[in-house]
Amino acid sequence: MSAMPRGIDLRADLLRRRLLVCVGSGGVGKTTVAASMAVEAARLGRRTLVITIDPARRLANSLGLEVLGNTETRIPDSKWASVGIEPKGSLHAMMLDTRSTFDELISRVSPDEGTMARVLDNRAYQHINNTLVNTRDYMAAEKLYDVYTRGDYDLIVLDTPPMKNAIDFLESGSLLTRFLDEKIMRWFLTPYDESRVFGRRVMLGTSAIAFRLLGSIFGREFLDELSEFFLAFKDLYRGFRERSERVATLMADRDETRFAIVCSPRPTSIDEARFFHEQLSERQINGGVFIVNQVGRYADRYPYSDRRFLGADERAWLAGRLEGVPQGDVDRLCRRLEDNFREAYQISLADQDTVETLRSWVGRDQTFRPVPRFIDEVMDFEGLLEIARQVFGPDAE
Amino acid sequence: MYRELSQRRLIFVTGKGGVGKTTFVTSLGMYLASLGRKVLLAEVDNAKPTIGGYFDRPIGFSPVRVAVNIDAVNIDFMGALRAFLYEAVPMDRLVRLILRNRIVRTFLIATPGAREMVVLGRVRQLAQATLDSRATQDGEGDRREGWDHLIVDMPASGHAVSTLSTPVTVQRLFKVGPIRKEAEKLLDEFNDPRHVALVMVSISEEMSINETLETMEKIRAAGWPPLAGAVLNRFPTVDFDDRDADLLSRVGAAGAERVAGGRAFGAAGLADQGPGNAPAVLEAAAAARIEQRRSAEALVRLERSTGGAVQRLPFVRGGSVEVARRLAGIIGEYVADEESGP
Repeated sequence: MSAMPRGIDLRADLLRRRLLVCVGSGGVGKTTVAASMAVEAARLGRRTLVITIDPARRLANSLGLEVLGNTETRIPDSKWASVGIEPKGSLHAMMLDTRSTFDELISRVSPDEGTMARVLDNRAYQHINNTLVNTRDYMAAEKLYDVYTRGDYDLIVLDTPPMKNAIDFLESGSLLTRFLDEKIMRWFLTPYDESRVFGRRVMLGTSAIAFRLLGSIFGREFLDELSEFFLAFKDLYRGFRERSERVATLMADRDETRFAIVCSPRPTSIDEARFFHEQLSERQINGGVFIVNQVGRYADRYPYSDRRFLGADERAWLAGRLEGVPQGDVDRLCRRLEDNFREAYQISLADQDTVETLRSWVGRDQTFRPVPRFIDEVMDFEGLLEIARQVFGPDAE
Repeated sequence: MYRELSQRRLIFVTGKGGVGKTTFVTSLGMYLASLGRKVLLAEVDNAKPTIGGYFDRPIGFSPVRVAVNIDAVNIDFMGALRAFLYEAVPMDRLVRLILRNRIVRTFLIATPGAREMVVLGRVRQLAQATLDSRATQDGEGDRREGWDHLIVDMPASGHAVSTLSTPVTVQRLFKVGPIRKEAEKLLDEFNDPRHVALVMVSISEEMSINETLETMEKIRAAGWPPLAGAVLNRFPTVDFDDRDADLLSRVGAAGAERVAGGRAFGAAGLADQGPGNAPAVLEAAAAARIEQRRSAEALVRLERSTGGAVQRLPFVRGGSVEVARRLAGIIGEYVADEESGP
């Protein structure tokens, strides 16, 4: 696999940007890639934080953490010492807890305790917090912004929730703000402001029609509940919207932020990566980095065409090691070894095809990195460093 | 499990992202179609529908024929909203008014839970067609309308659980109105193990199994849909038995296994493991043994949690279309073996 960097210099990027957002569909090792990038940034001297969504316990352990919580935890020096590296920067990790992030957000934008309590107690809010699917996406962005503005870190690496398309993440804020749209809210609150009771006031025009229509779909009771929510939310709406707009602005900031698309060599995953890329380009987001993870390892190194992987030399060597074992058993073992390797080899060839398809599609000004498949998903700190070596290429130092 | 599924008219499929849900949905559909059943495959609210790709046909909101006995559909939100409104609000003019009104439209798009309810409502409408098809099946032969099975390719587990638990929440929050009625209909008509089943698809990786077990827990807590079992996908096909393992350790492959399990890429750490291809072949064997062990553990965990309702599907190499076809054949063979067995 060619390690010659082209297009974007990823290592320079790590040193320059303040945000690195990893996006991709599920099952491609996005969290692992995000963690390895953070490890590299810390090694190079940046105070780095990696925010993960739902890491495997073993990944958390690989960072030396028993559990990842909603608070930032420093990766202990012993982890670095175990691989003989003295990092020039530092590495923190945290796991995103959507629910408490939302509660924190409400308390941050609330002008006073009373307002905060009213919102947190409202059933509509609880419903939003529990079931609104894209709050998870939005909360990832929100937490990011929170940490970003605090300024404790030079670089934040964000691992996003798995998604079918990149827009989900980028638009989560605007969807939420749309629901909390001031016009809708004002319209909703009008009857309350006037008389505090629905129906007492004669509504006119569109307002009346819309209200009747919604009442006919959701029932009056729900509208009452929602009005109460809006009433409670009214005072913190502005703060909320401003934050969501600033998050969106930060995401689109081409100096501060880089998006990396992580995929696997499966054709559907490659298609998704291209789709993500198009979506990012349409929005002028700073993307252009493709990381193909889990690429089969044997295509380059064993270009056999005769499909016999154990020749006379190999067999003689094996037989020498297995002296005294009946020939039948040795033959059977050889057969299984070859069957197994053939499978791995064929997968590698197929992966190579897919990877080449993407490579030819990726522009000169963009960056494309295949990362060989780890034999086992078991990860340790050294494994993260190894992945970083694959992603960033050999160290110039 | 497959025999049980062949008796259900509404089958939900979910699992962690990237485990092969859509391929399984397609394979199951192909298998049922091969029995002469009429099948409708549905994707849910997917910005970029993928089922069409398995049959080389674009799909949209209206079901289209993609193969013999197989139709496919993508239930997008706006289409589902229109269909929901036409059913809930009896006047066409009113529906047009609702869809034209900016406030109402925004409200419907952004209200928590509305999206899920509307999409599930469409699933219910389509599933209704499977019921109607049953009723008129006799004597109508191939001319009958509707389908015997509706297989729904749900979003990844997290989203799927939110979606499926929405009617339960709605029932708790709303006392009246069409949304409440829709929730009641959904739970009355479809929380019925004779007609409906949920299948989880998983692979042997830790995160996939964890997510599958958690999802099944949540589904049980929500009280619906009835859980039929789990599919353990991409099960390794090459088996090194104990004797092989013993021989491999004598060759020195135990060292290879440590290298493979730990960190080293490539065969660099195995340079002393024999001539030519031997290092790579032993390394691949070590990887396979790790995979084998992990899969066996995964199987045990899944079986414990489902009371044994786990079906293995082997790892199959190839493009998704080819894989789906082969898996459909494998499902068929599996059912045939089971029937001819003791």
